[in-house]
Amino acid sequence: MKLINKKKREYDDDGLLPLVNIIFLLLIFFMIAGVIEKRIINDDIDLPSVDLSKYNYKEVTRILIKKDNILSINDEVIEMSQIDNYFKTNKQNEVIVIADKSLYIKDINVLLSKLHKNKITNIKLLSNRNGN
Amino acid sequence: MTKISLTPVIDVVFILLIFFMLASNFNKVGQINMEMTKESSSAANEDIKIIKLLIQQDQTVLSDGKVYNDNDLLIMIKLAIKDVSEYSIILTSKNDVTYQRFLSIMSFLKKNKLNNIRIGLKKNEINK
Repeated sequence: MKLINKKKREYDDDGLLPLVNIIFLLLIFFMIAGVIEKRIINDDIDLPSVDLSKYNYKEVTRILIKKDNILSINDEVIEMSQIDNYFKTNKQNEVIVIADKSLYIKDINVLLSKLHKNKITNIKLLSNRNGN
Repeated sequence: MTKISLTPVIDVVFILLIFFMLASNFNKVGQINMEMTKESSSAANEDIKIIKLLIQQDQTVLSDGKVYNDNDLLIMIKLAIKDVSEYSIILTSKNDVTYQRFLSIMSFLKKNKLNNIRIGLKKNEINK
């Protein structure tokens, strides 16, 4: 009788190759499409949902206004009346305004007017492009 | 022939994948550049056509006492600037207008290639 000498199959992980392929693809996608940068918007600010041109990240002064009208400049809470003093000591000509969508524009106009008075010419308003 | 085990490679790739998934974010923030003017300021140059718009919260805009919806507004502006070399659109808003509504109008005008848009600041907003 002929004995079949079944060669014990060594463990190999050929079956994992499709998985490796997919993981590599995902990895390459996240490496290319994702941007690792500092989050500029706090979760408690709901930006207006408007499809504006893409924001290019730049290290500039950030003015945040939450829905309860609390104002902060670069994460430092400040009163509206102190803005003039702030910009007298910190000369700037570019700021970004990050405001909650539920705010009234009249409140934002007060801020914009103060910025204008302090000769800040480059003012950018931010929106959430995915919110449409 | 000895085969190289794939398991350590997968471990490392998984760790890299998780890192990139958590650390990266996709840019979904939009921006608009602002120009401001006093509501009362008049054009120095007579040739500049000034169109003053008063935004209302109910999806309409007032101009010269007439109420316009978005499409009518666009037609009105296009007609008004048809024969002028320069124009300026000054946006003011009623007190109950939200920031969302204001930016929507700004975006709508910009998308329709109307670029000379300025925010009109009211006297009470300037003096605060």
